[in-house]
Amino acid sequence: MYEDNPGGTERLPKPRTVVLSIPADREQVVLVRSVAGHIAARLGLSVAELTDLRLAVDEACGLFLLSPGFGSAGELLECRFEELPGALSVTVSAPAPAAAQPDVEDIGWIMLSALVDELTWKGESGVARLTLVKHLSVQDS
Amino acid sequence: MDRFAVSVADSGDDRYVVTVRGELDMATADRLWTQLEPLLEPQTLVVLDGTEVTFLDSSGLRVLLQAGNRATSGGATFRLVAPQQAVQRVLDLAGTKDHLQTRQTVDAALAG
Repeated sequence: MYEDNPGGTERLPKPRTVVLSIPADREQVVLVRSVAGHIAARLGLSVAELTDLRLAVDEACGLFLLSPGFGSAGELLECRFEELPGALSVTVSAPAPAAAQPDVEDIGWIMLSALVDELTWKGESGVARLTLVKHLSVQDS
Repeated sequence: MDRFAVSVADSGDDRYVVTVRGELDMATADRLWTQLEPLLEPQTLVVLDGTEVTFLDSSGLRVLLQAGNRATSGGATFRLVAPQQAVQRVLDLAGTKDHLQTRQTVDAALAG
């Protein structure tokens, strides 16, 4: 499941990436929370930080799955967890109309903004990407 | 094993205790609303015992807020019992702490 950074060397810490694709179905989001929890535990996050990360990825998926303009049977939601130096980045992406935008007044977006350090939404080439970045207080060992 | 369960107990005198266990999220929130909505009649007291809720997200919170609003507008009372961090953290993040009547215990919620 892990992809080592192809350009990395033996001496430098290797950024690790985990990619999970789920059917665009609310019932499947529990899988994303589970993966987030395992990654948070491996990174040595506190219980409170782990709980926040699980909630953040859930809300990120919800912004796609609960949006009226999104989703039809057979579509996939891709969740990419990337360990960066001192941070964890999670990108959720799925096919979406070019004009699709998150509702920033929505309670889910408000909670997500409060849970993470950076939050960006990009739509291009028929794919919407939501990236959240959480700075880590504990470094990977 | 189901990761979510909801049950309703009649405590008499138009008082109901709705017990929710497990993960109240975007996949399960509708099931809670289906159980709650018929109880929120004028003069009723509905207590949601969420002390065994292990995960709450904005979809679950929306149902709790919707129940509170329905109760207020329809002459019912809705109270939440869920002092644990998994629920309180979400109420804090969403800035909705003052939008819901909360109590520390089911007995306190039934008493007033």
